[in-house]
Amino acid sequence: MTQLLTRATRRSRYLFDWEAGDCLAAYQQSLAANSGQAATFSRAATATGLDAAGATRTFAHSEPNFEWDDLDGDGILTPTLLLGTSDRLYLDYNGRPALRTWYVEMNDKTATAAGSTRIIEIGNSGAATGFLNIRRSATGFDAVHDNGDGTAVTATVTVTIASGDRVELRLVVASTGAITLAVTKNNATEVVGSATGVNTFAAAWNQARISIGCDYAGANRATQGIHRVREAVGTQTRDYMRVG
Amino acid sequence: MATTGVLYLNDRDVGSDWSLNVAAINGFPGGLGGMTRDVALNEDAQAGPVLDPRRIRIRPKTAEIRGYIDAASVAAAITALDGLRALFAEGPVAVRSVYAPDRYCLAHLLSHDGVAVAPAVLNGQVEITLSLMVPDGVAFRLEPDGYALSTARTACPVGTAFSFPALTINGNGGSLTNPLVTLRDAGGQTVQTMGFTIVLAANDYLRVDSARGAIDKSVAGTVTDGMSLWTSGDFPIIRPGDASVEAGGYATVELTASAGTTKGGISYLRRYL
Repeated sequence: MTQLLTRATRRSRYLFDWEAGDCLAAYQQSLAANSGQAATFSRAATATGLDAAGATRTFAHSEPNFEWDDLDGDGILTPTLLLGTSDRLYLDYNGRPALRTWYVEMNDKTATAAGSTRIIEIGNSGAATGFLNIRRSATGFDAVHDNGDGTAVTATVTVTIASGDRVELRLVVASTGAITLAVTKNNATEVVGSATGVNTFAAAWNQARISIGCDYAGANRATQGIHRVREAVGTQTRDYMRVG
Repeated sequence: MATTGVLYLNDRDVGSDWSLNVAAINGFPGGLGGMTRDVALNEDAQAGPVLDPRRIRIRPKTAEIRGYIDAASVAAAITALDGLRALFAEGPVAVRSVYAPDRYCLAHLLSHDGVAVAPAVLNGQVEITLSLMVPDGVAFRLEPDGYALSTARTACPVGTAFSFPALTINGNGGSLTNPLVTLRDAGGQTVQTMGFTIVLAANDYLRVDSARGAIDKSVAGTVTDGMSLWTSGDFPIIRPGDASVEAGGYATVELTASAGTTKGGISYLRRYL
């Protein structure tokens, strides 16, 4: 019988900090966030991805599907959680995302943009009580803040994406509810979209869930390799959000 | 102006973020800096002192970062000093250096000493010593490894310390009877097996975690304890002694079964003394 092995763990400086590689390195294959939020995952099918040697690996029903890519060109293959059209992942999220910066790093697997598939979405009951999301759009990416009273604002960034591109998304949410989306492709100059108008937050923001790769109901799923999702307080730069 | 690209704390460059010129990085494992390794020698009366890998004990290590903050003003130096201290306030910090950029270790701050020496301080220069403890005693590779398993021998690259893998064994859309994990050294000799008595159905998989010493069984997403399914052998451990690190020859893992097509995976984090 082998000995139990413990390992020091590092507390994240972010309010929300989820990373695929840390899920594997945590010695428990948990999809919980570094910042502590519990995860729920399901996939009612087998799936395949590329392992760290470039070989095809089959993942069982309900088993998270990790795929290794040289995401940042450093020669070290980086694991991403490959979320397909059968996968569903969501984590606890308690708070009102005002005056926040969201950051997503991913391997875009969508050669042709497909409508409004979700990258992330905060919310668990739809437009009735508001939601915030980032979506893959036909022309790049957009983000929506719906405050629950029938008013929504949409921020857009037009960018041409090829399958396999490393994409970094940064969404700044002002205290007024206005949002600004920025996109970086393959470590090039960040393209910052225009800020939307003010959209006052719902008085009762009661959205206890962040969904990754799908919407709050598990719909609008896309095939994306998600490496990292973070949330920080205030307006933060891309360089700030990149480091731990 | 401080030199950059030498030392990173939580991925932040101490040169660019806190104007810290690094003078010494001592005591970190994994070749991050000057290394102190705790290796017990096996005193053999006939062969003399020999290194016995079974007697290597990994203990928490103390480490040190020394340097001086070269800021533009006294105020900027104090801000940088506070920034460095605040970084350690939340517990372990990931330390990475130019000497082994693909590795990191987690370190606690034991004590700090920032000496503002006049008249240099008037120019924003502060000598600083950070005394740290590395509780794991090892460094880790930046990214974990993960490989598919089948009846073929899958090579498992290893660091300079043992790695404790997690394996999954899949029902694979059909059924799999009595799977057996076999670990071989770089020469092909069997060094460890682990067997299970079970028929895995189409939507089932086993998760074998060598670090925790735990086995879970997932049936269409419902996870239960699977320790009773383990009927032979022991948890596999990826060991440098079973590999030839210099020659790139590594231990291999394969998955066989009494019946059914074997598919699964292995993932682990390389560790470095």
